[in-house]
Amino acid sequence: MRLMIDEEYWSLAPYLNRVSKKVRAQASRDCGYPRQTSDSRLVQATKHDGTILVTRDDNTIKRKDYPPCTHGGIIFIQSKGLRETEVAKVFRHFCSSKQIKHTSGHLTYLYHDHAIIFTHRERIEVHWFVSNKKRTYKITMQPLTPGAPLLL
Amino acid sequence: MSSPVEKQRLALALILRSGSIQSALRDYSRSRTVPVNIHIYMPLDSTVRADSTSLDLSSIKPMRFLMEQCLADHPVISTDKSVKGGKPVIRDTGIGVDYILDRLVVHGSVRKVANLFAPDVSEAEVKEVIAFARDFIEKACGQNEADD
Repeated sequence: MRLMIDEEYWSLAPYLNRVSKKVRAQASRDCGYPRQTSDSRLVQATKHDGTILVTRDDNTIKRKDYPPCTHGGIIFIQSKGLRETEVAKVFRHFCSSKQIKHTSGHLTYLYHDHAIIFTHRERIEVHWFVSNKKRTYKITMQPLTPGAPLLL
Repeated sequence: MSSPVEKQRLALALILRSGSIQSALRDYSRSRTVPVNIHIYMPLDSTVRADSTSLDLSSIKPMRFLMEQCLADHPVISTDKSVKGGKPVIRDTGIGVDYILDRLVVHGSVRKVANLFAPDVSEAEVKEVIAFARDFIEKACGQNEADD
């Protein structure tokens, strides 16, 4: 899985690279996009480059503007108040769930204890619980009603 | 008043002089003779309609206007509508002011935050971000006091 890290998050790249051997994270600048490249251009680039954009700009990159499969995939990390190591830990928990396969071409919102993925037809919610170094997952899938308001 | 820009300048000058949109409207209704020689920075996305009989300031985004004022005092900070949706960022980087403040909360020191974003962001720039936030709060609270 190739991740393109938004400019703000580039300090996160080395931490995400340690999460798994399958994960290869690169800052947007290392992918050939200069500083202050617009959000829309980065999203377009994900489809072209086959990467998944990791960002926190869910205010500017709206779900209604980027339907599934019009891009390579976007992961919104809600890391307010979390250290880089803690964000990497959250990412590790998410990566260990089998639902990570759905992130490609879709929008994913990653919180400290759960993730929400929006596919064409479903809203997949993945919750993880860690106790005694053991992880358990609770996955719920809700069908998306066509024409329904685009709420989280 | 002749051009729309003149009218916009008048409207913004009124707000600057009165301290708030509400006060500006009140003052304008009392007296129609208003000086327009106040140097101001034009908001990026405000559309002000003003003519000889009415002055509609409701379409101004007050917070955006205050931010524009703060930007003038802090050249290290800039905005671009295509980057972070027009949120203030450190100039020539895409690193948002809000994210720097968030990292300050998490890491606890200016030096650590500057190290985190080195070499793009210096300690002086992190301090400038704090000063920008302080000025913004001062201006925003000053406006509320004027409303009271």
